[in-house]
Amino acid sequence: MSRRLSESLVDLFVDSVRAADAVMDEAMRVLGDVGGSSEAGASDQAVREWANRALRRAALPELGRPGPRGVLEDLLDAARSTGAPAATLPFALPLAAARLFGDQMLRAEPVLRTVRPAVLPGFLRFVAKTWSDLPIYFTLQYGEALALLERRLDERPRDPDVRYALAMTLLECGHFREAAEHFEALSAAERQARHWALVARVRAGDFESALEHGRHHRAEKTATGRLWLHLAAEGAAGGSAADSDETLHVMSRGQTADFELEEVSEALGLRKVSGGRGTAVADLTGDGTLDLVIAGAHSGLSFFRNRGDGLFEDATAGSGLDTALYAFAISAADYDNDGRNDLFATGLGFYDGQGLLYRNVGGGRFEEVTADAGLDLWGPGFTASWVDYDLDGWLDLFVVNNLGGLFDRKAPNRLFRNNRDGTFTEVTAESGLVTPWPSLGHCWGDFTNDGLPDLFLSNFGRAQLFKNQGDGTFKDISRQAGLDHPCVGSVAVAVDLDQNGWLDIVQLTYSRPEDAIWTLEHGRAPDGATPPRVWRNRGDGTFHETGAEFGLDGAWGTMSANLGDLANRGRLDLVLGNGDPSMDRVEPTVVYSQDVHGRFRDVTGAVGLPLWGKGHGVNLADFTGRGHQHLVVSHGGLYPGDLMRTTVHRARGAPGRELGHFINLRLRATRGHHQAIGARLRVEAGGQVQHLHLSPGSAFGWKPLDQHVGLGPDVSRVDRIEVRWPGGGIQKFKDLPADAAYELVEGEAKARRRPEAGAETELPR
Amino acid sequence: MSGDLDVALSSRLADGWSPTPLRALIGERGLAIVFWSAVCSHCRRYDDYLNGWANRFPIGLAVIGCRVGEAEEDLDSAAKHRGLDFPLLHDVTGAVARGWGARQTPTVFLLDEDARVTYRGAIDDFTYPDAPGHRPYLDDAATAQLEGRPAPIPSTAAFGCPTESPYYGAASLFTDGDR
Repeated sequence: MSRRLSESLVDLFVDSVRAADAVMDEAMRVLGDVGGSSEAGASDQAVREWANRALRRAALPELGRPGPRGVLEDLLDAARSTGAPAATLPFALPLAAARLFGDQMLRAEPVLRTVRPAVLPGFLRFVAKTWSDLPIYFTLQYGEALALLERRLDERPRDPDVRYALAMTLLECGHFREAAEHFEALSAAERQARHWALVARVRAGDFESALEHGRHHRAEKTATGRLWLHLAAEGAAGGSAADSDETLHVMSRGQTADFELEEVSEALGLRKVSGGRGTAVADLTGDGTLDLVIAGAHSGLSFFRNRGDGLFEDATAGSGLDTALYAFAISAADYDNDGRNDLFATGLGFYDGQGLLYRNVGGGRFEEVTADAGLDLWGPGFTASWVDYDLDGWLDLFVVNNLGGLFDRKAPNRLFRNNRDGTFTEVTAESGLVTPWPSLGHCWGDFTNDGLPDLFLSNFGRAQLFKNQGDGTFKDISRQAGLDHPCVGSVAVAVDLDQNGWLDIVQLTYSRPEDAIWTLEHGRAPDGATPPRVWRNRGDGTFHETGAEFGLDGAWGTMSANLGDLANRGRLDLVLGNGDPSMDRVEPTVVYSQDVHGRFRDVTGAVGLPLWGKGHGVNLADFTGRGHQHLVVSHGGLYPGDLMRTTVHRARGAPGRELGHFINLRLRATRGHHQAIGARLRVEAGGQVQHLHLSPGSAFGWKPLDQHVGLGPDVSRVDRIEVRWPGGGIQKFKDLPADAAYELVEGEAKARRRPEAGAETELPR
Repeated sequence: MSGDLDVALSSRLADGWSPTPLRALIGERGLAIVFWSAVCSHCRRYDDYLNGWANRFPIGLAVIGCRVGEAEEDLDSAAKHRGLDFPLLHDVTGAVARGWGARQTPTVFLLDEDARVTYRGAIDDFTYPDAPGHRPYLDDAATAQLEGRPAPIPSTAAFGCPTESPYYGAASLFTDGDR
C-alpha cells in the first residue's frame, strides 16, 4: 500500500472519530446530560474521573487499594456523582465511554506514529506515572503521601514495593539522602533501585558515594546511567569532568563558537531556586529599563526590578504579584492602553488551576483583576498570548488549554476579546477555534501576509493552522496548508528563518530521555526519533517540513524555546529549555547557532553551558541596553524536590573575538495597538538583510517587545529599516548609527533616539 | 517590610497552647521567624536545622504553623513524631502570614533587636549543608547580624508549599487505601 494511501486512510479515520464525537455530543444533549462540545457533560466527567482514578490505582498501588473491587467502587462513586438524570444514565454512560475511547484514539495517533518503538514502553510508563502523580503534587497532598507510605512501611518493613514507593516519594519531595538510603537497601535485588540510588546521591551532592555506587553496579551500561555517572564525576571534580568510558562523550563540547556564555545570576542579584516555569521580560516600572518576572511551581511569581544599571533587586514583596500561589506561563503587555505593561499568568498547565490577570497600577505595583475583568480562567491553562487579532488597537487574550487529567475531555482553547473598558468577552465559540487535542504551544503570526495575525497550534496530536478571516472568525486550513501531521508537540515560535519575507514556524517536540542522551553523544537524534520541526512557508498558503535542512536534527524534551541574536552577529540563535518531570531527567539548555548559510549548529558545549538543567522559561534580553544579550532560563520540574536555580548567562566574545554591533528598536504604532506586536521588520545593514518578527514569543519566555538586532562586528550603521505595521502599513527609516536605541513611531518619518541606558555596572568577579 | 508583631499567636507550651505576642519573643539579639507547616515536605527538610538553631545562634526563633486549615493537633502530632523541640506557634487563620507577605512554607524573616527585618526569603538554596556550593542564606544573615553587619544577601525568593490554596480541604486522594 502506498504511503499516500495509508496516510489518507489515517486522515479519514481521524476525521471519522471527530465526526462521531460531534454526533455523540448532540445525542448526550438530547439525553439531558448537560455539557457540549466546549464543556464535558456530567456523565462525561464521571467516566473520565473514573478512568483517571483507575490509572492512579494501577500506577500507584501502594497509595490506594488496588484491584477490581476498588475499580468497581470507583465506578459506583462515579455514577452517583454524575448528577445526570437517572433515567438517561444507562444511555449516557456508554456514550460517554465511547467518547472517552474516541479521545484516546486521537491521542494515541501521535504516540504510535512518532514515538520510536524502542522507547515506546518507557514513554507509556512515564505518562502513566506522571499523570497519576500530578493530582497528588498539584493538590499539595505529598506530605500526606509521605506519611501514609511511612505508616505502610512500619506495618510491612520487609515489603520491597512499599519501601520503593516511599523512597521514590522521598526523592520527589527533595529528601534525597533518606531516599538514597532506602534505594540502597533495595539495591541488592533491584536494578531500578540501583539506578535511583545513584540519582538520589547525585542530587544530594554526595558525589563520591554516587560514583562508588554507580561504578560498583556498572551504571555506565545504560544511557541514563552514563549521564548520572557523568554528573557525579563533574560534581566530584567541582566542575567539568574529563570524558571517560563510563561517562558521556558530549559532542557539542568539540564544537567551536564565536561567543561564550558566562553565568552571572548571582552577580546580577537574580537569585531564585524553584520549580522554574515561565519568564517575562518587560519594563514593569516605567523607568525605561527591562525588569524580569519568573514563575515557579512551589514559589509563585517573583518580580525582579532592574535598578537601571543592569543589577536587580527582588521587588516581589508588597508588589501585589506576591498574591500568586503558583503560575505557569507569563505574558506582559499593556491591555488597558494606559502605557503600563500588565501581566497575565496561566495556572498549572497540566492540571486545573487559576489563570490570573494583574493590572499594573504604577510604581511597581499590581492589582489582581481577573474576576473584575470578566475572565473566567479556571482550567489547565498552558501557554497564553496577548494579541490584537481584530486590529482594533486593544490587546485580546488567547489561552491554550491542556488537560486537567490524562483522560479528561480536552478543555477548549479560549479567546477573549478586549471590550476596551478593562473587561473582556469570551468569543471562543464564534471564533471557530476548535481543537480536539490537548494543546501546549502556539504562536501568532501573519503567515499569509494579508496583515492579519493567524494562529499556529502545537498539540499533543496534529498541528493546526487557523487563518484569520478578518471578521472575528478563523478557518482551520491545517490540511490544505500541509501541516496537520501528528507529533508529541511542545511550544512553537513564528520566525522568518529563511529570510524570504514569509513567516515560518519552528515547532518543538517532546522526545524521550534516551533519544536526548543519544543526541548529546552523537550530535544528532537516533533514526525514527522526532527532532524539532521547521514548517517552511512556501508563500502560497502551504508549508513543508524542513527541520533537517536547517540542521535541527537533535531530539530533546523541549518545554521552552526562543530565538535571538546572542552575539550580535546578524544571525539567529535558537535556545531550547529541555527536560521532563522525571527525577532522573536532566538535560542541558541547548543553543543552536546559525551559520552564514542559515543552518543551525549545536554549540551548547562550546559556549559553556552545563549538562545540568531542566529549562522551562527561556528568555533573551539586553538588560543594560549596551548590546549584551542575557540568556535567562528558569529551571526546575514538577515535583517539589525538583528545584533548581534560575540561570542567567551573559554573552561575550570567544577569546580573540568581540561581540558585534547592534541596535535596539522600540516600535510604537498609532493606528493599531501601540506596542505593535506582530510588526515585521526588514533591516538592511552592511549589505545584509534581516527579516524580523516583533513577537514576544509564547514559548514560556515572553521576550521584551524592544527588538534587539545584531549587526555583525564590522557594521556601524543601519542603512534602512522597513517596518510593516500590524494591519499592513509600510514605513521606511534610513541611516541609523549602531549601538544605540531608537523608537520608531508609525507616521513619523524620522526615528527617535532613545536616551542612553545607565552605566553598566562592572560585575564582581 | 515587616508584619504585625503585636498580634497574639497561640504558642505551644508543655501543658497546652497559650496566647503569646510575637513581639515578646524578640530577644537581645533579635528573632528569626519561620512561617511553617506540619505537612509541608519542604519544611520537613529543615527539622534538624531548626532543632539545632538555638545551639548555633543566640537569636530567638519562632516557628509559626500558618497553613490554612491546619489545626493545633496537627502541629502537636508533627512535634511528637518528628522530635521537634523548637518553639512552635500557630497562626489559626493564616492572617499573620498574609500580613507578613509569607506565601510559601518555609519563609523566614530575620529581625534585629529593634524589630527591623534584616533578611527575608528562603533558609538556603535547597542543597544539603555539607554539599559543595551550599548557600546558607539565613545562616549568613544571622552571622552578619551578630557581627553588626548588614546581611550579605538581604532577600531571596522563598519556595515551598503555599500557605493557602484552593486545593486545601479537598478530599484526600488516599483515603480509599485505608478504607
